[in-house]
Amino acid sequence: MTKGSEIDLFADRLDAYGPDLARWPADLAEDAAALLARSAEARARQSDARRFARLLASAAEAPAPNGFAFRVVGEIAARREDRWFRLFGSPGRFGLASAGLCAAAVVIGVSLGLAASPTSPSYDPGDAIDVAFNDVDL
Amino acid sequence: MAGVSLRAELQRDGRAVSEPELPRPGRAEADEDDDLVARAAGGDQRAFARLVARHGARAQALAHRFTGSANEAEDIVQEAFWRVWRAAHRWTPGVARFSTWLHRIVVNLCVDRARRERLRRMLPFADHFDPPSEAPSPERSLGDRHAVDAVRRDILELPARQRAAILLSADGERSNAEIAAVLETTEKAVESMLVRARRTLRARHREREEA
Repeated sequence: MTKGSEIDLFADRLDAYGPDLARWPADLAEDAAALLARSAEARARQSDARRFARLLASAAEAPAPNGFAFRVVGEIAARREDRWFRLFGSPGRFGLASAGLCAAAVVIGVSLGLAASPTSPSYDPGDAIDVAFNDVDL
Repeated sequence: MAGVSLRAELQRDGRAVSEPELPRPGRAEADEDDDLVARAAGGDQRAFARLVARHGARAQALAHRFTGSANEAEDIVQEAFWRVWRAAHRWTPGVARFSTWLHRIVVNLCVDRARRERLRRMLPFADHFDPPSEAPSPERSLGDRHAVDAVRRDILELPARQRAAILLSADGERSNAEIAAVLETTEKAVESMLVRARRTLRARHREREEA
């Protein structure tokens, strides 16, 4: 590999992984360290990349506005209350929910009643007759 | 089928399916986050507030620099934490870092908003794009401040995915693998995004310096 292409490759990798060799894949970092030890141009490129990385880091900073965390937590609490309010605060929705619950209760009640009713094939009236008419203690 | 849809849902909500192994200090923080998410899933609002305190500022900075607006960023972060609150019961400890999940939701919301904004600006009756309002930081010299502000404007002009990648990498605390987990893509794709973003930004910075 020529010296120029070696430096170009190093510059590409600086763009891909940043100037901190600790963030590079281990094998590439090893090659880069060897290149940096023998090439002033590589060191200059890394130094430029460091300066630019610092500028980028400053550009990416943004202090959180005052009271930010409180507002976020407050907003979430308000949204949670709003969900309950939307259910119980609206007569229409509350009525619909209540009607649904009543319908479910009726269905369950009827099913249980049918399962235990005298018309059920598994129902044996003999015990009831014994208790009622023959005074048998079951 | 249910497994597939749950996976798709988790990905849509920003859950990482797999992530690189963390170093020990990072693991301790991640374990604490896992515990807080589990408690929040059980309705513990104090645990949830702790999560906001630990991760809110970083998420806010990411959204702020992505959108160019502190107010929009706050809306985005509120929405992201609302989604976290609602989906906390689906969190599986130890699979991914909480910050990866949160940042993925934030990035997705930012990208959606940017798409809507682009559409809005294409409409004939759209009003002018609101320029980002920035309070200058007092500790920097005037020259530095101009350079930083100019880079911020350049970042806002990058394509959305490149913008997200460069902002996620800017503090130097995330590896490319972690950025790939946030953006739901491969490390190679992240490398390519970062190379293009850094070259564009550096070229513009040089043009200004030479001018």
